[in-house]
Amino acid sequence: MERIIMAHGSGGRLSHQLVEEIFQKHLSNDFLNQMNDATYIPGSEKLAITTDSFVISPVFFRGGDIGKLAVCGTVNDLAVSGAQPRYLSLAVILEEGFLIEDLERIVMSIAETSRKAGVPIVCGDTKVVERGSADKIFINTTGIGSIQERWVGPQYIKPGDYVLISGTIGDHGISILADREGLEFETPVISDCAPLNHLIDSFYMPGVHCMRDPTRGGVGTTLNELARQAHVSILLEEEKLPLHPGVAGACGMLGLDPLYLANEGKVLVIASPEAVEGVLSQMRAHPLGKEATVIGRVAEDDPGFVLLKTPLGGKRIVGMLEGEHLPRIC
Amino acid sequence: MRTAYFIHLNGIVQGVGFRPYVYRLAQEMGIKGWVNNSSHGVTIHAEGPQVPAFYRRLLQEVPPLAKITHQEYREVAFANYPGFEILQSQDEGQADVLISPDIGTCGNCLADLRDPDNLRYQYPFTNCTNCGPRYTIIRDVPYDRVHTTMEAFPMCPVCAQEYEDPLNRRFHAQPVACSRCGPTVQLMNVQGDICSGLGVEQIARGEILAVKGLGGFHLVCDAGNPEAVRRLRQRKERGAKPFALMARNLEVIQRYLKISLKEEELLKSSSAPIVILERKKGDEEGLPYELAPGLHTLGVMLPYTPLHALLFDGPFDFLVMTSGNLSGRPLIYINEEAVRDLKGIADYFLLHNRDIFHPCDDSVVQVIGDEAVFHRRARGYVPLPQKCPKEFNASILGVGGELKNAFCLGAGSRAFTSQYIGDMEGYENFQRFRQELASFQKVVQIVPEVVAYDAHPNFQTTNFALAGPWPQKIKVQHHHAHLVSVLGEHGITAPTLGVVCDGTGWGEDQKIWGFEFLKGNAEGYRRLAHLEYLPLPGGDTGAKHPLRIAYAYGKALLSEKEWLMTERLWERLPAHEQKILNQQLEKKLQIFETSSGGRLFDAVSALLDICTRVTYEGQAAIELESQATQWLFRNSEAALSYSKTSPNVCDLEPRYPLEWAKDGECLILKVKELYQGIIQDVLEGKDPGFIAYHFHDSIAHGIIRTVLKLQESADPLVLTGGVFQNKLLTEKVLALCQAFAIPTIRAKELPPGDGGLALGQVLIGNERCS
Ligand SMILES: [Fe+3]
Ligand SMILES: [Mg+2]
Ligand SMILES: [Zn+2]
Ligand SMILES: [Zn+2]
Repeated sequence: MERIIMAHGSGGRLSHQLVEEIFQKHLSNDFLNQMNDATYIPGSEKLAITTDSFVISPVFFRGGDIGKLAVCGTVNDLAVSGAQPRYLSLAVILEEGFLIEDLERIVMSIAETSRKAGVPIVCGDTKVVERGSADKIFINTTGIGSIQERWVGPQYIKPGDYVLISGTIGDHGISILADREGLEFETPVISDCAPLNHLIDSFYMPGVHCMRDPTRGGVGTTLNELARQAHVSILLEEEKLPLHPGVAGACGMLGLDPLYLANEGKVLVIASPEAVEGVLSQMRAHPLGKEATVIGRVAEDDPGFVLLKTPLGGKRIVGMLEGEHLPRIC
Repeated sequence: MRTAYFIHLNGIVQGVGFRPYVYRLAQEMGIKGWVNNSSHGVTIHAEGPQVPAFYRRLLQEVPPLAKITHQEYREVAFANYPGFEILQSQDEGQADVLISPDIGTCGNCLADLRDPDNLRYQYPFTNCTNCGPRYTIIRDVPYDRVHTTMEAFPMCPVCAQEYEDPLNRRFHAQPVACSRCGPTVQLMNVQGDICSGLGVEQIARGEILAVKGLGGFHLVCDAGNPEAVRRLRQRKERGAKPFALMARNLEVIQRYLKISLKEEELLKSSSAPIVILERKKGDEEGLPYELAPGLHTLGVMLPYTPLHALLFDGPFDFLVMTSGNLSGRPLIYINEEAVRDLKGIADYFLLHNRDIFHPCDDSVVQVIGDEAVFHRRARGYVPLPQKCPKEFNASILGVGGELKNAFCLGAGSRAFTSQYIGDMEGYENFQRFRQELASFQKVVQIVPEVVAYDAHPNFQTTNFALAGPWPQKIKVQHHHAHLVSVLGEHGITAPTLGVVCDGTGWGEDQKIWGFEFLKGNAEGYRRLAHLEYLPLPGGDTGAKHPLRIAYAYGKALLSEKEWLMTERLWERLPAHEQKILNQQLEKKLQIFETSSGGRLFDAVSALLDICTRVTYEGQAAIELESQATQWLFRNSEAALSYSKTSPNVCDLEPRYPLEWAKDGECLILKVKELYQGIIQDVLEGKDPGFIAYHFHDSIAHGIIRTVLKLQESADPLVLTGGVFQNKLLTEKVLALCQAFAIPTIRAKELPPGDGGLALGQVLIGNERCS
């Protein structure tokens, strides 16, 4: 059988077969193998929980696929909250006709990413919907993390803090765009999709005041949210923004701003002046943070504003965009 | 006869020698009583049989800079005053008197400056009631020295005596000063060493000065020294944007540039704006090309302060006088900031210690169709109000547009538009906007209760309005505001047809509007016609790369077969760019559908290889117009056949005709044939100037033919939007309107571009607020 049919979701023999031959085969672990209505998990710590649903076109892209994205997205949301990601759930909605071979590729990718992150999938669910009721495959993951000490969040941001990013920005956004639209830029860009929990472990220390993974909306939108929540302003320096040449080129052509493009394997860190050097060197020592750099500072005046110092010395307002980059030149 | 009258006059009556005028007239006619100056204007108590005659002459012989907008005359109790005196101004509640704009140095003061026996000989800050700083130094009303930045300079006995003497030219001239008591200049090199003189020698040597003037700093160098001009351009990282000039006098301007009577009048006016003039034919060698690359025009002004006049004590007739700012940032007006920010540009700093309170750029005007059209409105005109056709229901703020921003405050029957502020995406400009909004409210005594803002969701001014404290917020469509602004200036309230030919504005169908035919008034509008939607690739990035627009428009307009013929045109566009553009167009990726007029001009400019890389706003269209105009100068018979007096003008078929389609009730202007025609001519190797000229001509015909299809009555036609700062196009349209007996109205005292937008917002806001 090559393709998903409705019977794969009926709860009957085909459903069991699918679970066993695809999901269990690749994701097998003691928790998942309990095969109960609910999985028992150990722990008495304070917990953090997050959930996210993933719908992306194309399902496979340069640097990843929807499965990898579903693991990374949830792991990263926990990690930037200062939690240790511990367990993941996995719910998959399949469109009738989806290639089983593709499903297996995705599940293998989930397994590999979950192994890399060290976060097991502990429960799951699969449903099939009629052709046209979903677009190929939708995935929801819920993550549970544990918290020892918690000191990160917008409320800890102080004027004078530094803003760091773990690497180049906008890679995921451009890579997806190129794949989806079949665009060929001079320099190809690969999605940065990656689990960040180990990277974050490596530099997480007092003095790290806030972390975010600038996914949808990018660094610009994320920092605008932080500036408003923390009632501070943030001054970025354009020359310091790490940019993959392919991203710079694509943005120049399409009129996109890398500050608003999605990232799936980058962490924004706001750290105290005392901590910044340590955080930076730890980040750079990790393979996912080699291009980590300071991109700006937190300031007091004009709370809510995110500004970008241009090479000419002026400052541009990095606003919260409504929709696209609409033309404004009159 | 024991009769006494109370007279109240208001308008521009402060700082223009009004009280001494009243005093002298009263003395001459034997009138007894007093004159007083308050925040509500000038009040007079006049006694004696001559009072009616006195009142008549009072209104007839007002000083040149005064402007009376309100008058009141009634009988009061006789008090038997022994003589006539000037009472001190008293502050009583809300001020209502208009603040004067800054006034260029008068002839008397210029003469004092050159007279070795005069107290003000070579004194760079001399002024009198007929001239000098006003708006730029005013902190608060009423206009009194203590409310200006001249407060820091106590008058010496001589100045004080002149200030007190009703018969003196300096009577109650608030900024009066002399070298003993007034502001002083200081020349400094980049190391911070004080140097002697005003920097005239340094300019003559080819060095660059940062000069603090009236409304802010200028960067100055000898305009006749191409090397100095190049250096300034390079240090300012200015691209191709033209530099403004200041000329020694009218005679030297006449040597190099054509001046009409109207232009001469503007140059010599008390507002002393920069006037855009055409270079004389064959005199391109006279003033360096680097001043305004690619253009046949130069913006020139005359010295408008004594300091500027003194700078001409050197062997040069023209100085570059470009705004002292860094690219994309507001005009610098504070000494410390100038030294800090301009040290990489200027070799010397000519500083002074009279603080500027309201920074103000030079105003820029051009005579188009015998009227002055504003490109930029600031010094010399702000804060003069527009009288509005209706009383305002509330105090309203119009925050203006995004680029070339100016805001407007309306209340009572007047609307005050601020000076040009700049591009709001620049944070420093946005700060200047907020700073000026706060202090402008004081000057015009209006605290807004309602805010009106542009419909564009990402304008800074939109965010500002939405985040602000005003209880009522009214969203206004961009081109509706353009139309209503002009109606407001002309006191028209009836629905009127307008051609708004503009760059871009947010449309109600979520598309980017630009070239619109709207019929309406402040209450509302209908969109009767517009340019067809064309694909703008990459939004503002496209606007900076007009060849990409030209490519995208070509792809959209030409059939596949026709497209194949054009391949040669796109050799200038790198292959990978073409590939991406094709994909973009195919997938509609980052493609904005636009009816922009400006972008069509940009596209044609790139097609003709006139401008393919834009370094300043409007460059592609401005250079296209210039090439077209220069071609016209070279081919005067064409000019003749199109001259206003030609009876055939209406029958002439344009070279690139437009076509029309209907979309429901709305007419769509189709440009396929026009675009194809231009491409054909380019491929045949026709002179780009010829094509550019006929493009302008064809658009003008297209406008008029569209209007003829829409016009139901003999109502005047509004012509506005940024494209009507294009002299060639505007004059063609005006000529055609005249031929078809269509009366036209245009922006008068505000720019037709986005600098005039805020007035429209305020008027529309007034209709919609409760
Ligand atoms: Fe506009
Ligand atoms: Mg999430
Ligand atoms: Zn004077
Ligand atoms: Zn004095």
